[in-house]
Amino acid sequence: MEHSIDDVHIPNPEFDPTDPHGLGHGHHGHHIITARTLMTVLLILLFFTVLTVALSRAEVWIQNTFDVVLPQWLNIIIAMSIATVKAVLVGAYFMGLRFDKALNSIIMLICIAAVICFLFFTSIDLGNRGAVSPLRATVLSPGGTGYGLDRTYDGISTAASPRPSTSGLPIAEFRRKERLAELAMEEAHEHGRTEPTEADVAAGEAEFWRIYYQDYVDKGKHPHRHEHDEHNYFAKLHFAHHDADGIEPVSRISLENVAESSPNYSKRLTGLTPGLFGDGSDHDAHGDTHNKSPNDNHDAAPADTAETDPDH
Amino acid sequence: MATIDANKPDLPAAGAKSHPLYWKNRGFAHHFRNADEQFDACKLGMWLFLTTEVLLFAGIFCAYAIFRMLYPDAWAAGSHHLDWRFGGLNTIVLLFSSWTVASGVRAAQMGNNAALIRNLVITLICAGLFVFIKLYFEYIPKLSAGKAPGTFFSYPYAHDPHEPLWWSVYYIGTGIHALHVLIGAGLLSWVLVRAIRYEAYGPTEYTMVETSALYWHLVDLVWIFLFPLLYLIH
Repeated sequence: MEHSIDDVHIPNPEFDPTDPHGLGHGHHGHHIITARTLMTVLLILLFFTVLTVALSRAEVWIQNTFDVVLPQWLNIIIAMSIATVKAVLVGAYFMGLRFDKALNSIIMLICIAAVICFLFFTSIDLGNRGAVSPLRATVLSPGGTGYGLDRTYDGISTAASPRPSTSGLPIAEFRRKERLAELAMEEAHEHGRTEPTEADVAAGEAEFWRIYYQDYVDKGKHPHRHEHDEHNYFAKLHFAHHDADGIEPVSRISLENVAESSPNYSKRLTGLTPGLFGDGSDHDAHGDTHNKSPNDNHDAAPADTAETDPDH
Repeated sequence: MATIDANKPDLPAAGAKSHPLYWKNRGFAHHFRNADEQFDACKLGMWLFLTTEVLLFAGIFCAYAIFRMLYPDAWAAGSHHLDWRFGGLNTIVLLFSSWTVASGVRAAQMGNNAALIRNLVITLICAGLFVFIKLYFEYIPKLSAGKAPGTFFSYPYAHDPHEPLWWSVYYIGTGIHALHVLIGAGLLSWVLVRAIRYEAYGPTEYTMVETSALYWHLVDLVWIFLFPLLYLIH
């Protein structure tokens, strides 16, 4: 073939300068999901919503009717499995991943894998620092203390609290005491007194616990099984509002013992940074000898000490 | 095939369909080979953005998991303060709106502008209903009873000293989700205005409908997990 530099270029009518390799001609179009599919997916999603609510209500009903406490993981596994199925349906059909380029699905799956790592490693860290290094294990006040929300540093409060201080009490406990005082005062005013008498205080307490348990009843819980209710920390401190001798003195309920209410109390979780929770004081006054924490070891038997803290 | 410069569109003879935003008048950016490639690139970008949204909510889910492990009693007590009926109703509202938005995308793909507008309007009504239920039946009664997050907690009948922490996770989780509902509603309103005013979406031009719909579905996805975690698990 002979070509000279000034050959006239004859354009190919098929040639598209915006698509020199002809890649754009394989027009693949977009998948249009049928209205019937969309409707079916919606109905399945609604069915699963009703199912997860029904199973959750059934659990509450079984607990109240047969007076049993079902394991918490059962509830979690069922609810999360149903939620995952729903999420997959939304992703595959409503978001169109099933008919889409695989790249979009791969990106989202990598992200979800990252989230699982995130949750997994944070979770195993919590209770296992002691396994890595016994020095890092410390007592985690089980159930926590709830303190520390109105600490001051150099006299400057770091809290954005609308209340200047809770007098060193946990907020929930502070408000409970405040409300008891308010009710006693209301009782006193009703009888034309300016200061509540002992009777007013008792009547205020009775009113308080009536409302306290009424709240429970409104939430669909059986009013008379709270002593067995693992979720009621007052109940676990052996408070019963219908004791034979009438109203229990409120002084029996103290937040100092609140750690006992936690299901993890007997296990004595260890792991958080030393000094972050609890003051390391001995909670073993009620004879729990099996849950010695490293902080308790100062007065423990030497064998016990060697087992948990090699530094001694 | 030629590209159309958005600033100098190939306008047909003057008329209702002469606006550059009318879907048949839309072209694609010069660095794409064709409109499909541009559409796929936009969608890929949207999916990348959605992964960052998932990671944002993952932080909240992680906080939920950790504090649940630390304070199971507080979480159980806190969950009892939530009414599953409002949570369930809001779940149904969001699932329904996800369906209408998916139907809206389908309508745009089919070139049915009237159906697109109809579906978007229903979706926006659902968004409003969701936020209304959240505020009127949940946030306002709870906050006025003192069930406020963290240090603002003042409810005297708490069953556990860590309920303030539960409320922090509850308000942050549902609050950021509700913010996403509002942002999603804003995006869909924008789509709606363009659909009404310019008939901007059709079979070859519906990128904005698709990406806004993806955002809306993500909002739905997050709620699918928030609802059982907060309302159903005790």
